[in-house]
Amino acid sequence: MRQIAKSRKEPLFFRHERERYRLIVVGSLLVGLILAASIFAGTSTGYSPYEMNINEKLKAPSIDHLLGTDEIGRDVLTRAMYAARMSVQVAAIAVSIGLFGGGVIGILAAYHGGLVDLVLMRFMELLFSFPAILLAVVLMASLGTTLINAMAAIGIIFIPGFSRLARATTQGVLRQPYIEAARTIGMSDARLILREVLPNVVTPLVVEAMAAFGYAVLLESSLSFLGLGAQPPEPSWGNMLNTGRGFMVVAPWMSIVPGVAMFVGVLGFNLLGDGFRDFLDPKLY
Amino acid sequence: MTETIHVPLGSAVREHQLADGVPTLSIDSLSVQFTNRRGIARVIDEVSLQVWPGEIVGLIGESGSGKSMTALSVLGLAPPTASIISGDIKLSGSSLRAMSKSQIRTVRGKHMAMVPQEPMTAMNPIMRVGKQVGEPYVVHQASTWKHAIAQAVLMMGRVHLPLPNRRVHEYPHQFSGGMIQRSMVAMALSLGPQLLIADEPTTGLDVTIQAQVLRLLRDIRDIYQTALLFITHDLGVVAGICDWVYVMYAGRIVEQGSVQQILTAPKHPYTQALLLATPSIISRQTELVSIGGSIPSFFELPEGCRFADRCVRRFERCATEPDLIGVSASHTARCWLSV
Amino acid sequence: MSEILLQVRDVSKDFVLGGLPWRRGTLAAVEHVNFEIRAGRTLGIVGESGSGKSTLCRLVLGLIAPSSGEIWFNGQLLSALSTKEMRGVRRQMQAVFQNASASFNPRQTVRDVLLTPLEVHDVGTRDSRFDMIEQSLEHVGLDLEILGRAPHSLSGGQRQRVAIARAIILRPSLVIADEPTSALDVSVQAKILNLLKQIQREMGLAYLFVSHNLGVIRYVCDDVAVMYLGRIVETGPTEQVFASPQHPYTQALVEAIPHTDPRKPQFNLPILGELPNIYQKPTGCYFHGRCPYALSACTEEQPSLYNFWGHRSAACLWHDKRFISRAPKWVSDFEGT
Repeated sequence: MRQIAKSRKEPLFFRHERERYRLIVVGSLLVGLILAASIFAGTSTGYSPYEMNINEKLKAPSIDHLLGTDEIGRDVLTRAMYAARMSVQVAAIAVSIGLFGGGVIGILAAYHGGLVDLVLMRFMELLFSFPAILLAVVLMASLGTTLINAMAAIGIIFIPGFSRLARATTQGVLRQPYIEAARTIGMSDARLILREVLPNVVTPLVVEAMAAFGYAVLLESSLSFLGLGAQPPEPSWGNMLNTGRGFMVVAPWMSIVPGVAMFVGVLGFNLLGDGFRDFLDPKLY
Repeated sequence: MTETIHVPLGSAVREHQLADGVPTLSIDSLSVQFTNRRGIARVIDEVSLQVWPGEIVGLIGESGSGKSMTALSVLGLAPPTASIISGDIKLSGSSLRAMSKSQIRTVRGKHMAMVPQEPMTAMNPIMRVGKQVGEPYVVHQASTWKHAIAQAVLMMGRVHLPLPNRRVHEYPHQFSGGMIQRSMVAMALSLGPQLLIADEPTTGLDVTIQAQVLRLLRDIRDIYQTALLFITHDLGVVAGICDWVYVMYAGRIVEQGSVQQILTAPKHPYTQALLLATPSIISRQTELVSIGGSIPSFFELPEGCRFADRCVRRFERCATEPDLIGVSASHTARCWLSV
Repeated sequence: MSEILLQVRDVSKDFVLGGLPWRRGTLAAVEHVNFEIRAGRTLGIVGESGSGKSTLCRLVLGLIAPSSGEIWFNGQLLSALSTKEMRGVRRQMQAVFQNASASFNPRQTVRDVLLTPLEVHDVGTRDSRFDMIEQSLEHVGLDLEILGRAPHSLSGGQRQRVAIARAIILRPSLVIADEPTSALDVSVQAKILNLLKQIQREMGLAYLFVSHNLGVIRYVCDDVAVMYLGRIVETGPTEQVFASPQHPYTQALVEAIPHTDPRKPQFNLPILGELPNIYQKPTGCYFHGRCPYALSACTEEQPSLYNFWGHRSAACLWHDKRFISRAPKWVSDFEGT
């Protein structure tokens, strides 16, 4: 039985793209670090993030506690790793909410135009005009300070941004001759959106999602720093930073560790996003 | 060893050639190449070309022939990655290669000017047309803007743009393609250059507008005796306004001569093929003959005659590249068949 | 005489230009256009910018609906069809566009491009689809190995061949070609034109061929319709129309086209001025402002297409009974011809 030859995408790596390749490599390393931390959180250190041991409190980094202990004797490294897992989870869900919600709204607005576009976009603008933290605080204050609500709140904050990007990209795609060519062939609207529009709209959205990931981590940390989001004894980089504030002189590692962890995470995701942007877009020479 | 007749270029007397004069533009054995990871691409290979005062010279080639790069090299606007490795470009006898960048900048605009392709993107969209057309006066003659705009009105009138005093204050998007091209010609002519280079100036314009722009260029030549180098891929246009023709293929001149000779009795198979492939409404052709194969990449130029692998009349001798061989006093072709 | 495939009856298309409601204008892109194409015949549409030829293509393809008039294909009225029925029509009517690389989804390979029409119309089985793709490629002279490549990595000529392969894979009866060779070099253009002619013969296709290049139209098309500012100003068999044009605009076009005979002078026919503003078309005959033969009546009266000799017609008042006696030399009376 003959097979239609599987399409071979041409190799896209030319020398001048190796600089961007570097971004992906470095980004992946950093992100990999964070992901590893979140995966191995429970198993590697041997400590529990909640286990208190007053005798060991405020101990500097040592062989027993690689990154020191906090004010009630909990191992900082373990807590940081658990915090990593939670940040990743929250960010992933929040970004997904933003991506899918915003994506659908944007694509629909661009595809239908007219009144639909008007109404949807005005609503998005309304949402967009609130400062992020304020919106999150208001949402959580009214809905309750659970982790789920934190995810939802951050997700909602992201929706307008994604919707704008999706709308602009879709409009650009719809103007292209190949859309007209596809209609000429007799394609139904559904197939048109799915096969012709969507694949060409997805790339900028995915890249944006990677950058948003970093921002989501930041937002979550800010929320938990403010006492919303993850509630103690759940470790979160934000509340670790908050607690660590009071012990800056005595036990600086309590703040430095979550701070550096956040830095690594956010930087890693941004680099990854930048590196992927050019990698995913088809080159039109 | 058979004798080949080599007619030294320039010895053939052209209609516009002055006895003891100097050509306005003289490109002598110019070679320009790009180097990158793929190798060396010699996009202009020992090209020699002359334009005499009052002459309209056509440089004909398809895409990938190197013709646009030739224009850019003359103007000193070749990309920084291109290097001139040999030969010279002389404007009225003065070598342009010997000039510094600032000297060339003075020359450009004042003594030689270009009318580019793509009229719709040739002008700055946020600057009024009058300011753009008048700019050469300010840059080269330190004139005031008021005077420059007045001159712009004059020049735009000379290129038959209706209502120039109104048009001068408009923006490029309010102009049609043909009008922009005429404004570009006005801008190019403003300081009375000796040499005008037109790089496919009518590609993309409507046919009737193209006819007007071409007539305009011809009239300009008649009035001001400007030397005009006209770069195109359209043999019909060449037939319509050029006096002398150079045919370019894969970076080399493969045929040159008076327009009569080249278009009625071309000797190089490529020129012949181009003629046969051009659809026409006056000739009774029943079939367009296409050329097999494709233009060689500059990174993989064949040994010997560059056109040989696409040539229907090739024979053993084509394994060595021919020089430009004299067919008559006003016609040379780079083909062993002309011997 | 083969049957009529496409019939365009008194079709007009107006575009409403956006903006504040009291500042909206209308652009009459196509006005009262009539023509028909019979099976296996080729009709060329010639026009410059503003002529409405691209809008006409879109109307015929059903991508936009006419503001008035009817378009009939194979005996069916396009505006009355359901989406499903329209898809059936699309199987019979395909298109090749000018800008080949932009007419392909940048994320697809040639294989995807050629499979798509087959999938959309649910044609054939997996094996037979491969055969159809193979045949299509053979028809346009391309190798199978091109299937894995992305269209934007191909040369202009190859891309246009892929576009043609896509258009013929469903074996349509009518192909609409909108400036298919305008972006190509002369030698490549010759190849593609020859290919188009060959396919037309082999598959018995009808063409609606739009171009601004009279030489190309002459080479490919049996009949021609000349458009100016949205109206058809002359029609007839290509050979005859170009040999003795009966409308001043057609004459100007024929005069203005560069030809390769250096002995005949060129670009000498005066064409006064620019194309009029398409948003504010002139009164009377649209061409009167640029016409060397204009009568005073031309400023008031819009000439209809005067039919002479069965298949030729021209929209010029000189062909009207009232004026024909004083007509300039180029006006044939066709009585004794």
